[in-house]
Amino acid sequence: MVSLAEMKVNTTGVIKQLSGGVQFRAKMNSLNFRIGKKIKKISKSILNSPVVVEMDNTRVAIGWGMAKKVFLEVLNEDSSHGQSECG
Amino acid sequence: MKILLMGNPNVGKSVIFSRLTGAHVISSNYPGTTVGFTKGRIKINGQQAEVIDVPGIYRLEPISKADEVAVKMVAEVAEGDVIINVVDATNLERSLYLTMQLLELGIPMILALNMWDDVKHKGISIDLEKLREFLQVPIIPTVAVAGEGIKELVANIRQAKAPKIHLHTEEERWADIGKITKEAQHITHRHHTFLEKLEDATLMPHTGIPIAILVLLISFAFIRFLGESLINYVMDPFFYRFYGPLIIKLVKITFPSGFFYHILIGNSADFVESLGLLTSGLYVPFGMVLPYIFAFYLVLSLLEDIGYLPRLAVLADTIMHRIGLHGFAIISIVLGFGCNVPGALSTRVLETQREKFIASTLLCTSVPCMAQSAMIIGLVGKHGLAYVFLVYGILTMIGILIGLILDRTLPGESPEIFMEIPSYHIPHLGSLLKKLKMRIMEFLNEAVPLVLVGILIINILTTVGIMNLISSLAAPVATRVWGLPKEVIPAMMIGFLRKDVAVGMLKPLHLSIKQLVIASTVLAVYFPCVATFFVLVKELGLKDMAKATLIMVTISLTVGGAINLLWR
Repeated sequence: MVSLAEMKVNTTGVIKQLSGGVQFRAKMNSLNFRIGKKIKKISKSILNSPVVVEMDNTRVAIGWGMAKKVFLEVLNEDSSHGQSECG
Repeated sequence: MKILLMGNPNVGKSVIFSRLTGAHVISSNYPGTTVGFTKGRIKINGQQAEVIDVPGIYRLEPISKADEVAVKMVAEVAEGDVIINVVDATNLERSLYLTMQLLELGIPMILALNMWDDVKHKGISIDLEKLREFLQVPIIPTVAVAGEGIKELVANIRQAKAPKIHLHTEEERWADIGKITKEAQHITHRHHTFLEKLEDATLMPHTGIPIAILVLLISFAFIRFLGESLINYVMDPFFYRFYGPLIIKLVKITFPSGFFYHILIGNSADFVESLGLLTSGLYVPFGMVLPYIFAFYLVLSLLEDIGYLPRLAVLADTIMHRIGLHGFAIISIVLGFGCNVPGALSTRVLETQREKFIASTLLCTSVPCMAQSAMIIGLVGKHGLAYVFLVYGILTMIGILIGLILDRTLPGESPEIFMEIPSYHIPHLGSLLKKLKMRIMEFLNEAVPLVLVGILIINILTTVGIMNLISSLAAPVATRVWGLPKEVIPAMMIGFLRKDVAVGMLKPLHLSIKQLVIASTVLAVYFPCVATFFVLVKELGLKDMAKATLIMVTISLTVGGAINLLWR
């Protein structure tokens, strides 16, 4: 398992654990971040900037501190349709 | 009968509301545009019904104050009321959670499956029959911005159903949603379009930040170009060649001279300096400020409807964290540059009182509204645009400083950004123009009466000698601390009402550029205008607003004094 903050860009993972309080989980759930959901990390973080992920065809920005509390199991290291602008 | 428009943030509730009622509400392409609720009326089969545009919410457990408003409205639903549940068709799974919660409450519902036109090119297919079978409520596909499906929606409101569903646990809800989406929705993968590549390029830090700087620079240049052009080629010729001579002639017929002539026309051929009700009173709001209001809201509305602002929020997040806010607060600040009132209202989506306090204090001290900016550009800009940038630079530094200090001294910490980034949309020209018109009318309705009242008050107070008395009393602060003549005191007093008039009142004083910079800065910082003040008392509470006011007064004294000392 790896945290969303540490996960490599352009990889997809399945959420396994949301390590925070009730409030944190409720907030995550509101945007459909739940155990078992597949998300793909899209943007690299610079100076702890928010992490951008793709889930169900939508983009969501997650603050760095929150991203550290989302743990995933990596599915594929290398995405089949790499996006050139993410290098 | 009440009709509640409900749904997740940024699914188009406000657009549907406008379409249903013909009423005017601001809608944009980012979550949290509606923070209060708006009511309108609609006739269904000859019967009046009330339609309420409820703030967007993801679930019935509130996180922010805007959420609380929504939850409260649901609690107040009475027999015979109906919910129009607006669902983003491109984001079905997430939307269904709120749908389930609402269904469990047993309130009759009709579902508007909005953004139906986006479904296909996002590679999503939805089986409407299956979805109807599962949810057992009428489902109408809609494209609200284009007005598609609205007629069917109205025609079917009476058919709203409340299927009997027991109260579910969270797990049960997600299990049901999983089943529904698995059978009724099919997502295929497809290649990214140009617009989507642009969406990502403007969101990633290494490409997004340079683009953001470029966007802001172009916006500023465009606003100034359009504002100045309108003033120089439309407003000034109108006021000085046509309206001015005419109105002076007309007034002279009735009041050749004396008190009334003085109050109506003033005593200068310059329409800023004259301080007459029919000269300055109309020239300042229409001739000087309106062109900039128009230019600003044209650019802002465009950026809003495209969906750029949430990306700006993400990019600004790292910096905003240093001053105790998260990226979304940048939207409040951008709105504040238009007018502090909507800026202050938009802080409702911020989750904690701490964030709201910091954001509001920053708005009041460091974000001059467009009316004020127009006057600053007009007056200070005459000495060179560099001085305008100097004023803004000082204000920005004040903002950063206050933010840094507040973040370190206030207990608690600010929550982090967690928001959906909407797709780019090509703006719908009709809605864009409607929004622009609404904002301009809002400005005129609020500004013109206050400007007139302000000018009337100055004239009366000056005539009876009170202005002179107050000026003498406050003179030491102005002269010793700020190095300004005591004649700026009346401007400061009118600044409580309208900052644009206040900046205008500096003009006849013929201040040096140093004094002009100090006076503009102090006027921007020392106190919010009356409209903003009362909104903030309501939003923050009296105690926090008193604290914020204390900060403003302190800053205006020290910063004004510091510039006076340092600038040799």
